[in-house]
Amino acid sequence: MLTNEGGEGHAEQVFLRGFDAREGQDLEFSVGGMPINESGNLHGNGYADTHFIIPELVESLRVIEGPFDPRQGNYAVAGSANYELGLAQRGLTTKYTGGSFGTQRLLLAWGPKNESRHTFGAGEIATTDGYGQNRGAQRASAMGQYEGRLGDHGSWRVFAQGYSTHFHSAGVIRQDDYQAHRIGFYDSYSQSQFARQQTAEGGDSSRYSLSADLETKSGDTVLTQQFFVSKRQMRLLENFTGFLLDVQTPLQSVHAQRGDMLDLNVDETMVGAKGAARWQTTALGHKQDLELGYFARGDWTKGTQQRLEANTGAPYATETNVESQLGDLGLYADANLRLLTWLNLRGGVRSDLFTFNVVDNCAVHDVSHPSVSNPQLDQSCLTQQDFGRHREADSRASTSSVAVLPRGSVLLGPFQHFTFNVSYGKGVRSIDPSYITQDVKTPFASIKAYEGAVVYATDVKEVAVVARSIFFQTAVDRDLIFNESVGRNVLGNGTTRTGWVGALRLTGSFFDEAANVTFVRSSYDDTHLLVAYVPDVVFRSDTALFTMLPVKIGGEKVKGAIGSGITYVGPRALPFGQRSQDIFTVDASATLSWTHYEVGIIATNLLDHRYRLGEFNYASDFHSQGQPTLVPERHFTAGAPRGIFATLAINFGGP
Amino acid sequence: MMRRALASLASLPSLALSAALLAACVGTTGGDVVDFPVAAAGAADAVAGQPYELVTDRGWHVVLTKATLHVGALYLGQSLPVSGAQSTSCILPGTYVAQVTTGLDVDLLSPTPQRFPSLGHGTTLQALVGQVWLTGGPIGTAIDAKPILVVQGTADRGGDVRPFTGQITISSNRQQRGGTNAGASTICKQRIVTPIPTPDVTIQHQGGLLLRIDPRALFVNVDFAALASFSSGYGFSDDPSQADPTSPLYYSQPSANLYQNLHSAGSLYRFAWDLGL
Repeated sequence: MLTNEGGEGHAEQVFLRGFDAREGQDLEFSVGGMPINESGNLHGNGYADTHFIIPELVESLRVIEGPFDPRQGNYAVAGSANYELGLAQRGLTTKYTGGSFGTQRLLLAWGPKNESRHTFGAGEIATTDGYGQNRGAQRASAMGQYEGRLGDHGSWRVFAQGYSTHFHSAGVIRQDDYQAHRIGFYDSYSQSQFARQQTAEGGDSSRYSLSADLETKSGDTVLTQQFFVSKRQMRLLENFTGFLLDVQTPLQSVHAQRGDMLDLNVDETMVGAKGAARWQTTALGHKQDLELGYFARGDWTKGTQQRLEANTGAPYATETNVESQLGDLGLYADANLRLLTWLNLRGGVRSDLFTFNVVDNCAVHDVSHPSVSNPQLDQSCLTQQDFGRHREADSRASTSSVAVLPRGSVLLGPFQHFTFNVSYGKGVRSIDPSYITQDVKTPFASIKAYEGAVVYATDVKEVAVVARSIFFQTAVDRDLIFNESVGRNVLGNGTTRTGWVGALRLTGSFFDEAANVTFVRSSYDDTHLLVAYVPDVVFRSDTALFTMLPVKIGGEKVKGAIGSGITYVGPRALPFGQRSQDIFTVDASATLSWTHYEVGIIATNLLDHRYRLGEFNYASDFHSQGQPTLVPERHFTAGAPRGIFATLAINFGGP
Repeated sequence: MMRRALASLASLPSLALSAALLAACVGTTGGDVVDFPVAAAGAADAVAGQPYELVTDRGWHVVLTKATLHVGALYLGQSLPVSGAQSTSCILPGTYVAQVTTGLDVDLLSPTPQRFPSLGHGTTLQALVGQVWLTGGPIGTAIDAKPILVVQGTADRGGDVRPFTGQITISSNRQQRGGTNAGASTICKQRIVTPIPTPDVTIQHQGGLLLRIDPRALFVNVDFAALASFSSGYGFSDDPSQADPTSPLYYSQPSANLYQNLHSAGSLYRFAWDLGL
């Protein structure tokens, strides 16, 4: 389940198997096989922004829960998610969406009838004022792909995309300020009288990438090869604490609190490739598979983080200035052995080498014994050691380490439509380059995961029924914990998540229902206290009904479809023994299609339930009260009120 | 046989689901956030409505007929100030466990706890150090006309009877010269009394925070014989810049020591967690 509390251009927060991946760090995301987790992103190593994906081009989303497949690499902690792109509606399509909050979107998409649906081009431009204060955004995205044939059994694809956005975000609201009517539910401190910011919260984000892949079959072996390159830029302006952190230090001119606005900038270049050979043969009367593959990825990143003065927007302190060269080279072997009709062994082993070469251009922020005669006043990045001895401002650290990741599953069945499955796997998540010290031995977090599942699959008349019941446990030796002071997740202690997932999918000729629920307990291994911000219960249901209506216009039938999405997120554990409010929203949509035209209406948060998207407990001071507020207080980010959006789509030259 | 046995396992999820439901919704992240009553009181041996008598270390018998102290805010924290490192910082970094951000004029002649107008807010942690903010407005504002301490009474020693009054403000009169360079003192530091030890103060669900202010500590080493002479008796000066001995506002030993005592984190202020509040 996804939520977003950082603004339109901020990566989605992901809830999966008890992980509260604030920006996707616990999920290995890929688009058409191209990885999009950002190694070295200063805001969150593994940050994954999926906003560049045009929804109409998503042919499928394959989610693998848990790190049980040897193909899964870095960041596959809770699992992996791969978007496959395609355009089902062939021909030329224009689609306009307009509605609440001044939202407008124009989509152009095309896919020649005689080409594969993996051949397409599409672009969108969207703008919105956003709900409440300071949530406006503009974005544009373009994607194109061509798929050609390679002999009788092969294919090749080239893919290109560009995306850019500028957005604002409202930030957090203190509960005591909201209850005392000092600020509104959908307001932003950036625009308040008492904590106005010259530079409001928000940011910029862009992504440009190229990918090419081919797949061919030679004898009984399928070969795949893919190359990809991407360029990313991101700026985030966030202020979680108001005017709290800028305490006077001895080497600063006398100042009051200047504001805690973080200005974080990231510039990343990624180049990579991956390939595999899958050999299939027959043994023991069954087909057997063996796959060998590799993954190679290099990242060159720059990240800076400064604090901005509220009154002027001028940077007054540089907290981080890091350049990183990161390498991830992985090899894997995966087998699918069908020993009996009811016994199947899957799995293998994966090994990744992680290399880090990190330059901290602002290595020294303070010294115990500054120079008496020539102290460096008001400097963020010092070039003096104790007693004024000179040093350069930078510092370099490099390290490497190998992770060995065995993974396997045993499948038993089906027996009377039931299939049983037990799995074990080790996963890995590389750590933020800012944590790298020279020759540190394990620059990654290790994950151990177990699951036991029962799957029931059958057809009841014309309805396909698939039900799953999965018990899981995932242990992370160094988990990511949100820290409001630095505005991102930081490394914490080891945690274990134990829970259950139930899922049901019903597919019929006129409907499609998918529902799942997760119960999880997330606790620290040392204290056994709960991990903050993780919901105990998450429920999601998606329903679609579609049919030809008994109506004809000009001799052509009208197709109708309605859909709904129901989301429930249970109360989340918060620091200091608190619990958040729950989230319950209902989204709905309806469309009518006739020949080449389609009209639709979409309602988000149909019941207009006022809910808190995120809740936190920490100290902040937004100058909203007579004296500073220094004790932890409840904060929240406001979820969107009801939004109504209408769409009109016209298709030319389609089937 | 094998198939039947495995198929029967399909009934296990309902049992395990019940266990997962129970396990998922219990537990805590530790600690708690609480709102609690806060009060301040004068000397424990005072009698409400009556003057308060004390004998100073200099042998003066003092009868206080009025003593009020304005407390602008209270903070309890877990970080002890480090000498030098935060020498110029008004608000010390670190973890704060309790705060009271609305002010109160405390009658120091009353032993009865006087409630602050709003509740305190804190976390159920032990406090190590306390702060008393003596301010009538924002802590960093240059001008603050609010009288922080008002005293009135009579001091006598060996027949030398000196009726006195005093009113102390912490405004531009207390701003130390020194410009804006590093290390310069700011007015907020004059208004914050810290570090006040807080032994045995742990924020709890029951009870409240009590600040007891003992007026005896105000007059330690105060030589009433050197009080400035006013037209109607004697008085403490509120103008540290006044160095003219002939001026009725002459800032002499008693005025300096009264202010120093007011600003001292010694025995004047004592925090306690009172289960009776």
